Amino acid sequence: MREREERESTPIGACARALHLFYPLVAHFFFPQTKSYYRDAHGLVFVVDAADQTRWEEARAALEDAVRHPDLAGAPLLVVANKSDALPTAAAAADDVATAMGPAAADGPPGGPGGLVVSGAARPAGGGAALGHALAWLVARARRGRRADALRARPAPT
Amino acid sequence: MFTLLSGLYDLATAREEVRLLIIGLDAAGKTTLLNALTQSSASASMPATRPTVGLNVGRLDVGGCSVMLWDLGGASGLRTIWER
Repeated sequence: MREREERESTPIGACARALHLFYPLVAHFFFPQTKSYYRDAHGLVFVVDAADQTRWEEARAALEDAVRHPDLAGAPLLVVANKSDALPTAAAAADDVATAMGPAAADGPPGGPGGLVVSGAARPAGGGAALGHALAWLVARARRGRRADALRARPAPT
Repeated sequence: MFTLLSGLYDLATAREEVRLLIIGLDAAGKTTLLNALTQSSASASMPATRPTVGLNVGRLDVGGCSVMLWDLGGASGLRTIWER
């Protein structure tokens, strides 16, 4: 931890972090087709803070922007109602978040297998069985279909 | 000949990889979720995370399929990078 703080405090560390941050923008400018998180991803996980209702509207807008993006077409979507362990009714967290996120969470990107909303928590590790099953659902859908075939035909990003 | 054989070997032993992108608003718990998924359940204490600037990468095995997770920073100024 101390090493990390020391690295960040040096000018070189700051430059490296700035470069790390802006590399995708720079790369996109020079090599527009080389690498894209949206284009290279098989599936999408969208994490919502289930314990902070004040930001659900902002989250819904961000999710809709992502789902509407053409580079994500055909991708399966998993919405995680996170921090559900901080709520008195953890089981209802997924339902409430699913309602708040609207059709974007249910449909996912167009041309894809749709979306799934699951409640998640960091403790117990991995969020328990429900999140594990949901992740298996996402992986099973992410590895087949037209989007997976298209990604397989392209060289893998490094 | 060697190239052909090594190419065939790579083809036979290559494991399918699925890449998943983790996005969401800042402080939604993306990095904590990534850590919880990739670390073994034995570690009871979760390390405190700091706001992600850039990207965290995690690897995971789901049903014999190798999964790569990209956890992108969710701060409003960083969200334009999601689609890049």
